[in-house]
Amino acid sequence: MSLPLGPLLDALRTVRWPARRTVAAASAGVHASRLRGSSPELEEYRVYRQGDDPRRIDWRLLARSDRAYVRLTTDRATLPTLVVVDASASMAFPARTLAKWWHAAAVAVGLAAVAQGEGDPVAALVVAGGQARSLGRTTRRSATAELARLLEATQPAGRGEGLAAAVRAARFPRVAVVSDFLGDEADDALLRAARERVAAGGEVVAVHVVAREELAPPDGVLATDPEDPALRRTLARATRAAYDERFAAWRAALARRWRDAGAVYALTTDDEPPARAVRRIVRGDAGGRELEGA
Amino acid sequence: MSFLAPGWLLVGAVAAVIVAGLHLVAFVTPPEYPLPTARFVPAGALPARARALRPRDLLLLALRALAVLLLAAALARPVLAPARARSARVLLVDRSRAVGDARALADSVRALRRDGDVVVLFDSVARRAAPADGVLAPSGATGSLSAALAAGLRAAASLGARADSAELVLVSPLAAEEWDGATARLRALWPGRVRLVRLPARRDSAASRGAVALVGETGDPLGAALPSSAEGASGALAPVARVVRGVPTSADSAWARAGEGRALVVWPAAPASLGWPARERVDTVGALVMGDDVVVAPFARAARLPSRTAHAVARWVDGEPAAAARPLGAGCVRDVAIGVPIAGDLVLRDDFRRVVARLTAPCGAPPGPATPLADSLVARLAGAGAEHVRPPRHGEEGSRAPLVPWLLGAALLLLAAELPLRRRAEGA
Repeated sequence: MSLPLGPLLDALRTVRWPARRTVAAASAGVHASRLRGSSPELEEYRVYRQGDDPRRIDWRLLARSDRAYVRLTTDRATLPTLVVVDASASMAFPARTLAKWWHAAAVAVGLAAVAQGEGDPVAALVVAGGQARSLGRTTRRSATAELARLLEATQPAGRGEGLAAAVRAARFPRVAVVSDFLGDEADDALLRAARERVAAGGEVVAVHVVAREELAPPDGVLATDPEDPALRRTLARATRAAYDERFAAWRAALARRWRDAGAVYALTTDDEPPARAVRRIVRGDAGGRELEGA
Repeated sequence: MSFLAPGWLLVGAVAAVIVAGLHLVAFVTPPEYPLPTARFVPAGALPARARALRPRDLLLLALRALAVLLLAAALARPVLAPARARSARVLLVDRSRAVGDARALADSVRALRRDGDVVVLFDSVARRAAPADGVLAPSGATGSLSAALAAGLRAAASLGARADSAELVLVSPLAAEEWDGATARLRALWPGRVRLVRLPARRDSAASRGAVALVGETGDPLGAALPSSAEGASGALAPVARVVRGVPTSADSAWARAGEGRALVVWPAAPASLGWPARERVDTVGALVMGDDVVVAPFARAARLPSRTAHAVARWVDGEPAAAARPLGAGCVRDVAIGVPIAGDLVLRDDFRRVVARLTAPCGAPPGPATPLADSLVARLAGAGAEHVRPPRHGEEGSRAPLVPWLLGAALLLLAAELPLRRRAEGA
């Protein structure tokens, strides 16, 4: 199967993914930088001090006020973005369509395309079973296509290990993690890594991918965990309410913990159009309100 | 078609219902479903096997039920037999010497016999009468109820193929001489009641026997014991027996030799006069046995019978011959070493008179009237219960149920097909 790259990119052509805080990057970009630069966008005036660049003196104001002031403007910088995609066995669901995986892949490609569209360098890591396949930091226009090909060639398998290490080791001011967070380390290590990154001034976006069939699985089956073969439980009509309640409680707790860690949390289901999901994510809309009744 | 063991059909029907019920309530393992969120399913709430509330695998159910029904049909042993009569009859017809009236015998058989009945004729041996057998004439042999019952049981078993029940009818005068040690045990093999048709027994008629001449001294005590005794040779009936109390003459021998059935009874009052071997000392013996007749009395034995080629017709209770007979021309000679006391009432006793009658009977004649069978034995012979009973079988039915191997084979074939079908259903 291949990702519908064309329609997805067309739908995201004008989408912007603004930084949530000023960036410290030196490269010129579209995001507000902490540095004062030579941008024409005036921010404030300051009295000239010895050592200031004389070229920044506003001569008109000098003529009017007979005092020398320098123009201070906001600089713009790039925001290198790393997209980390979870390719563990739990993402390969349902087994016959892999809708969850393909939705996660499309959202990841969409986020990378939006970042690249603003001139931000983009990189990607596809983590499966502790191993990662990467797309190096690049500003090439073909980066999105390369990421799509990388994801198309990946078969989700193994346990959800390595995500925390990838987030911790990343040297990117913005990291987007696309996962179902059903791995063992989601509760602790990954959140801790995200919290550390945010504390260091970075930006973390947690994209929680949920399959519609996980919200409404069939009754009368023996449910088995793809990442834990020893876990086998009968899902019947009598246990359905308890399953729904426990799953909803876990989703709510997960969202709360990501937000408490300072990250942006967004939930998307595999039946949501990827473009719309990307627009919500970059807008900071957590989504998932339609799941409250599920 | 009928079934030899129809109860198995009911068992098979119940088993088929049970198989169908088990199919409905069968616990099946729910299919495995990979679900990444399986951890949120409550653990231990339900068993790993769920009840199938709707019948599944109808083909498998039909196959199992059919196999059970075929097996039950095989055990029920169907037979492709022609229509069976409700009841058949086995007639045991006595034609022994105990029968007194041959016409009564023939009339009884004619009245009782129906189409399909089996007639067994018996005297000392029993044989199955052919349908073409006509008038039944009594034979001179002693009858045997044991032989009759054994043949009757075999005949009744053979009726099992064409009748649901059988009746045993015994047409006989029921003489005591026909009962032996095996009769009671053979009778016990018949599960029901035996219908008894009693015929007139043989009687001893002096008129048909002829007169008995006594050659001896006047006032011989033996004369009182002779049947229709006529001392001397006079009388309306020609003598058929001559009792010589002294030394028989050549005329006596010639007389016996010349007449058919004439009996010369040499019954010496003084056996020593004939040169019969005397005993070292005279002893007494307590009884005399002649066939069914027993005379208990203190007989004095002075001499033994002469050793000649003869067969004993009477013995002392210790087994020593007391009287012997041998053929003589057309008649016979009987030597009798039984002392007749002068005093006492021995010659007037019925048991002694019967022995004397048998000793003076014509050669080859029946030995007197038939003693009737005791009432207790008659009741035992008749028995109790139903007259029409299911005849005892002798394991012949296996060959009359040709469908059994086919039904068993079909059931086994279905059971063999059930295995791959069940595996396919479980794998689906």
